Amino acid sequence: MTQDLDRRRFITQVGGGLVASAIVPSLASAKSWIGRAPMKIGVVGAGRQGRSILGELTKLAGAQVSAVCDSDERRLGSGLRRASGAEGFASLGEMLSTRSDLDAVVVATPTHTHKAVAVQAIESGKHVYCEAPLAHTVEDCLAINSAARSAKGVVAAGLQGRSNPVYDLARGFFRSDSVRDLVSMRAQRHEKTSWVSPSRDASRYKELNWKLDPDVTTGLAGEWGTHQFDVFHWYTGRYPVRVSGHGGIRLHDDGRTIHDTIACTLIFQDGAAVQYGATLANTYGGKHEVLFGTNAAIKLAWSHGWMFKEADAPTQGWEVYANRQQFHNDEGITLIAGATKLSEQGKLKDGVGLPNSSLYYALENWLGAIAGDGEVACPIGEAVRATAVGIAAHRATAQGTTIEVEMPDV
Amino acid sequence: MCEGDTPGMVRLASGAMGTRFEVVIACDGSASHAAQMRAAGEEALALIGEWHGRLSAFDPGSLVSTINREGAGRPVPIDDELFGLLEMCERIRDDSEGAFDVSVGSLMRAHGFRPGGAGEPPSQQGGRGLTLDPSARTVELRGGAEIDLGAIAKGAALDAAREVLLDAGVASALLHGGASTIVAIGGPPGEDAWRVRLGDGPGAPSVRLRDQGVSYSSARPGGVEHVMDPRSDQPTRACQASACVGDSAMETDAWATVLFVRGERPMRMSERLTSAVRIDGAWALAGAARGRIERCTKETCP
Repeated sequence: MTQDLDRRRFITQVGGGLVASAIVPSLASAKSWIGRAPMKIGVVGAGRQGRSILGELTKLAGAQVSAVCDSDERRLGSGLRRASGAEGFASLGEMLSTRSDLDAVVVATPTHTHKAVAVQAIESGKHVYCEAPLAHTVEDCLAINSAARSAKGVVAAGLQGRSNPVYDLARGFFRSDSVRDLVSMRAQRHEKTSWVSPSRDASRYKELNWKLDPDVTTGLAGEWGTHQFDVFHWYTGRYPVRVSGHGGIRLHDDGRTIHDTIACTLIFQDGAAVQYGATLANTYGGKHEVLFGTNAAIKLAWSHGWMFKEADAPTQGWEVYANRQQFHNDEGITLIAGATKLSEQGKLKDGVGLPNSSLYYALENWLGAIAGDGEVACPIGEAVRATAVGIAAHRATAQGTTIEVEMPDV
Repeated sequence: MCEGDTPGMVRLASGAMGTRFEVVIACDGSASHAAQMRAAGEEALALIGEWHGRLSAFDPGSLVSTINREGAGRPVPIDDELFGLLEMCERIRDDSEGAFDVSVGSLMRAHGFRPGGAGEPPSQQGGRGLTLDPSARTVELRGGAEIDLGAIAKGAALDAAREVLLDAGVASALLHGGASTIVAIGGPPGEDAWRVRLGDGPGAPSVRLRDQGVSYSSARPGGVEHVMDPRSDQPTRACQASACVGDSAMETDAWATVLFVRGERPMRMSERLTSAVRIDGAWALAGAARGRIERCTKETCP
């Protein structure tokens, strides 16, 4: 009964201004912390993800990258070129002792090194943003969680769906009569890349290519899947109880043992399931998640989102004004508030997508939480759970078997 | 990103900056070397993708779009990499006597070359331009200016990609963005230099390229010109085509545009250009020396 009442209230609000208010604040960056003294941030790890983080922080008013840390000289140099006025360091200890004025630290190192870096940064009293998956073992995840629970600063994990304005908006629809009862879920990430980082130095090569090292990697299911599994956790409020999977090497037969293509099924207690596929051998479809309901399906593609309604689903007033896109036989309603107006202003990616990356919104959310402007969208506890599922999915696909998910108590 | 199979070569491609970027890398035939070269090519293309994400005026999330939204009347802090690029753009603007100007973004939109509403474009006479503060590392937009790096971004991205390939030990490679700017590392296996043909048709000129870049700017067949002359605030072309060879693809990219807009060389040009040519029907040009478009060097450019 309570759920029905919530649905009715939601639909009434959607008829009013909820859609617009849900999304416009993030697009307009109308944050109360902007205009205060810049937050001094140290970024640890200047690889591809670290450079992306530096790029987004440059765009965020109120953030100032004061230090960059990487043990690789070339990466450190390229990171510093993306951070005007920042000081470079080869180790975290050196960075923290030399730049005690830092307010916050971003952890963008390889997954299996997160624990050491994140715990040290948290215990030094800094605000910390740690990339996801949180770690390569559940034990390391719990160590970070333990440090975060007694942290002086604000600690957030980089599961970006939770701070993505499109995902937030779509979640409202998912939890209303717009989608109604959940039928099934599906997600994929397709890229064509070897996952190899080049290096002429043999020892450095092994260090850089940790994602292909069976001792430390969480594979495609962990490195990629964790982010997408968390979307389903967040939407449904549930976690899978078991996962079955398999995988193989379909393209990159270069001596690796880590699969370049996987498929797995996450099974929930009530029988609902997520079908997940990932590959390094094909790009078709890219990265997206789909939730199928009895009234509609929602497709989420990080910068974009759509709702595909069933013919017998009730019509709602707001649909009249919605932007639509045709996908072969299906018409998708664009899930972005004020899409037509924003598109006319040239502020939407490809005419219908978010103007900024998910990473931008995740960092913006964390900086806002530090300034007391709301809560972190992804607390460490949720990242522990999502990573535990990702690790279980990796084990299942690597072994071609079914594994019970042991959800850690956080 | 996609790949093709050519014996002894790794060939990869991706889309960025509204065009196709391609990398061809020679390998020694062993599977391990091919894998290493492929990884190097992927890293190079990924970096080009990063540059696209930072420099594109079409992408509302890029750093350039952020400057365009927020930089009118207030200095916007930017990173050293972009600041250095904008300083280079300002130098070329001065050297080209105004024929090259990256502050024409709003002008491009007014002429329908970029998304957004058309309107009265801000003119050069109105003080349109950039103010760079080297000590604060900021950029501010004046007189309704917006940044559009379309005449230099491909070259800048290719320069960065070349550094990645060299760092990974690549000794022989060719990379290009939309075939209008091409960068060579070494020569193809067994040869001293890569033979690069500029444009289409049986009489198209070619250049022998080794450890340099070449850029080519040509008229659109039968269409409206898409290159802006910042001096007149109108789309223009002063010649059929132009080409530049030099050590920096960023500079060859920009200077090929300068020559296309001016049709003649200015008093001062970059020392890092080894050849610059206006091409008007006389297609019988062959490369001789390193990076040299024969008989039409910087000195002989009209």
